[in-house]
Amino acid sequence: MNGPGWRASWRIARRDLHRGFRGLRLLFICLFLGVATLAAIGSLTAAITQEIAARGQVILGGDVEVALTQREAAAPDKRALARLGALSESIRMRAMAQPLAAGGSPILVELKGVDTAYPLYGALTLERGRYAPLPPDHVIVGPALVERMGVKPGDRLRFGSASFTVAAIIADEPDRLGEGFTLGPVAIVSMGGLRRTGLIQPGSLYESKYRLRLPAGEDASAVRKSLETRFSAQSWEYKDRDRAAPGANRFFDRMGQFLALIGLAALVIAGIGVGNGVGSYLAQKRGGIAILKVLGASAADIERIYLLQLGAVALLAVSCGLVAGALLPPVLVVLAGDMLPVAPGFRLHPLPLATSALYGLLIGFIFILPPLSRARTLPAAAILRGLVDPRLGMDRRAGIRIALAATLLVALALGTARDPLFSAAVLGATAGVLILLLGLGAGIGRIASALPRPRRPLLRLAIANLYPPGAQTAALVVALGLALTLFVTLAAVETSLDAEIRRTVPQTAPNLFVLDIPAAQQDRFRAAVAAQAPTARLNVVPALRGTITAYGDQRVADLESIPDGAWFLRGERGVTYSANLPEGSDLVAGKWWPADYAGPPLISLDAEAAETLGVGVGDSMTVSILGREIDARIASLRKVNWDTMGFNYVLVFSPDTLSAAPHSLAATIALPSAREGAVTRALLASFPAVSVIEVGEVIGQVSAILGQMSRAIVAAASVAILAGIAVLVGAIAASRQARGYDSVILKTLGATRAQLLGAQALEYGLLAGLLALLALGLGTSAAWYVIVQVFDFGWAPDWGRILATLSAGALLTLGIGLIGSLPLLAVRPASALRQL
Amino acid sequence: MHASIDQAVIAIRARDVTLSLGAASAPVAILKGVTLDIARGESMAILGASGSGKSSLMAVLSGLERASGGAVTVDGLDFRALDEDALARARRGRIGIVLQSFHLLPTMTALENVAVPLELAGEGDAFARAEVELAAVGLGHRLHHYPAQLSGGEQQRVAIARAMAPRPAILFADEPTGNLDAATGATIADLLFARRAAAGTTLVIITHDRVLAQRCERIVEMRDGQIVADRRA
Repeated sequence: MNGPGWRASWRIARRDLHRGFRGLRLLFICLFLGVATLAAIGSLTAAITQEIAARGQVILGGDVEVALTQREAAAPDKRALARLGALSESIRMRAMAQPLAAGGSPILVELKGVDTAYPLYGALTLERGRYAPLPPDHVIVGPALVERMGVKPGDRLRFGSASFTVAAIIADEPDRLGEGFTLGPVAIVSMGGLRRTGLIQPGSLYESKYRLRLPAGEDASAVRKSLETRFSAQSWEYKDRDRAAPGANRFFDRMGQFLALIGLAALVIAGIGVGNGVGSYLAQKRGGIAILKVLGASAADIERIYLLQLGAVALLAVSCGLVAGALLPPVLVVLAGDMLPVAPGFRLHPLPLATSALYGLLIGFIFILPPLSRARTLPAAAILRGLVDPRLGMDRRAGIRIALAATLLVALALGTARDPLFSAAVLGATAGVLILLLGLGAGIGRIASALPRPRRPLLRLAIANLYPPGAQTAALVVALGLALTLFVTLAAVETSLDAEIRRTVPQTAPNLFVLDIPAAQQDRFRAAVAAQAPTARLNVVPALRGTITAYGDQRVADLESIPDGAWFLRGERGVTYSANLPEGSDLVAGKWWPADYAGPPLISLDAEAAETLGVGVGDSMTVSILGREIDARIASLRKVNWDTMGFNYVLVFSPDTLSAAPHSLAATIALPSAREGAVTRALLASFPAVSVIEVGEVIGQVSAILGQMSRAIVAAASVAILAGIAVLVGAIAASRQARGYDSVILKTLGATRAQLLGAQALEYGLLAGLLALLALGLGTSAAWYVIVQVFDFGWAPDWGRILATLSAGALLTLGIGLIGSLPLLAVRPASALRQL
Repeated sequence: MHASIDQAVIAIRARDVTLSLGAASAPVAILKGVTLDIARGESMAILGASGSGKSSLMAVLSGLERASGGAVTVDGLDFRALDEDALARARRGRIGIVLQSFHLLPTMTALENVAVPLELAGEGDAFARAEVELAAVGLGHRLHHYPAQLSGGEQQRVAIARAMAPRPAILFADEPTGNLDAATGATIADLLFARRAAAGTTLVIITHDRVLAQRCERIVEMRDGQIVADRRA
């Protein structure tokens, strides 16, 4: 006779399921949680990066952008650009906004001068009224400036040496994201207005941008490339609408990848729950499976029936997870508010959803197969014997399928990763921790079985519960171990991030940064500070901007991609010159030039940067400064202490090379904080062009960013903890059958509920204690990796908080374990015995 | 000791069958060289005390368990050559089994329980035939009841209907009345013999109930894994 076929198998499977999938709740919850997390992270990342890409023209403010630092384009160059399409010109710089009314404090703003063509794309919207090109004495300001200075339309503000009337409040600045990181709120004036301020001086730090609107159908990327070739000697920076905000795109792409890996790790953890849930479900079905075999079902029939059943629930869980994951991003966008650079609307993103579904199904398949294989190989004669059959195991066929599915999973993870090595490390670490915990679980079982039997029955029971038959020790160890490890990891990551924030403000940190000090007025500047704060400590350095265009024989423009860690090759960076070794640096190779050196240009390079680029003392380096390429030789390498919060430069030139170039000075001032306001006011009165940055303000912004990162990590890891708790609950439920029998027999023999609970607490307590030690080691290692290797921060966890979190986590998991055991205590012996 | 039977009418043949269970290092001998022929259409009781090996013999003869040694041939099929799956297929439509504890599938109705072996065999009219079988055991009015909604006697009737539905040539019944009171047990025994008579099925009953055994044409007695008596009732 033929077998039942898929249709009949599905009928039998469905019949078995028709009373609901109570026994498969753990399978459902674990897969749902894991897939929903992955789908939400993937969809949100895709939504943000696609929104940035789709709004490329608006974000960039044009199809192509050319940017110059510390100078404007020459008239012939501007005319050449204007021939390609409509041209808009803008200049942005840091400046101090000073209220003209008495009592107000000046604050640092991002001052932007725009021409009448601005914006080429999108619309600059105001809270009231419509935007029109501004007269030279009007300024429109961002809401953050209104909030911080308390100004309103009609009020007067001074920038540099000119005063302006606040004409309106900006509701939306279309090219905000394309402008990149800013230190203060925005204020927009006309180009004429900007020139009135007197802030545009040779050497002052400003950026000129020329945006082009190309005729319809023109390829922006091709135009950018032709400009790069045509103006290759100009060291301009170019962007086109396809990569309007590369920094933001890169950040969200990377953060999304990192969170997705945490989500994948959570899904793998959830896989343990899947295996456990399916294992206990099929254990309940042993009688039915054996009967089906008695009635003629082959192993393949059993596999088909239960694979259909489990597959149906897994599909449902994955589908629900996808729906939740697709619906979550709009909610997250609303919750995140201004934390996200764009606010994408609801859209389905098929690729991350399909990837999440595939991950979910593969994990489900991998963890369903071992218990299914055991059910498949269950001999029909098992029905004639007891519940426990030591002959049961996983067959080779299942082993091969699991290996294939795992290979596909790893290939999918690595194939979709930006950084396959990092993804492989995270996956490898997750697998390693799981294998370690599973091994530990088996080890604890063996040790418990070898221990001498205690005389006290409840202690004997607690220890006997740790080893087979019927023990769930491995699953409990995995669940408890993972949950505790994650608690430790999160505590260590959070406390280290907190410490990083505190560490960035060392005791000796300066209070103020001052930019755009005219080079010729250094003495007057020092005197102005000393008059207000005689004890102030100043460090004044020349400030220029430069782009590394070549190192050794390598042209940066010819690199296919920027090497890892070579952030200083991206665009313009601060450059200085110095006769002496700068503060906060130690010479590690080569020699410092003599104070009166006047030979060919020399460079002192940060040792870490030299290592990244593979260059050393004696190698050449070309740096473009103010549009002129300077060929220099590396004379020395310095170890830079980046934590001093002072001026630290990757590149320091010999003085003779740059001292004649137009430039300004920058200064740090360390002074009693009570004097900060007075010094700021005095400096702005004497030097209208300078910008004063309060360190506290910068720290606030950095803290906010670190806090947001920390919250994102905690949110993603919370899912892993939830999955761990689901696994724990599942393991307890799975062991309930065996424990139920013990409880009933012990109650019959006179044990009280308190005694039974005590035995349970003893068992979980033994496990939790042992695992807390392990979690401390594993969790701190994982946190160290995240903090030091991933984020490149300092490792400074707060051990007190970690231990407190670990204790709380152990108590929580212990509590969950005991609560899960309560139903056993409520069983009345008489009714239970009737069913045994 | 065993009765001699004409080769052509043999339904089950066992030769020097042994069965050992437990760990390989310390095996427990359950069957110790059982030799037995059962004729087609014969009714036979295997009688013995608990632990005598009678249920294990049934497991081996019905293909639920593979013998450790010796040979078992059922309906001309040599069970030695068959693996677990082939044994399952061999049982389909050839062997029906009724167990002491009924072992109905708790999540399925009486009708669905009886239809399962027919569905497993790929029969198209599984439910129609299951309905007929249930009517034949007097449960035509209980088709859609779940096992938990049926009495012990009714559950055993469903088990008999389920075993008989594929019209097996051989029916094994392991202590079919063991979980029932005397009156219900007698009714179930009547039903078993009636169904066997109607279908001409070979019936092998495992029991320690001598009264039930006496209703069979032949009685085999077991002790300590061996046949100690084989006689006509």
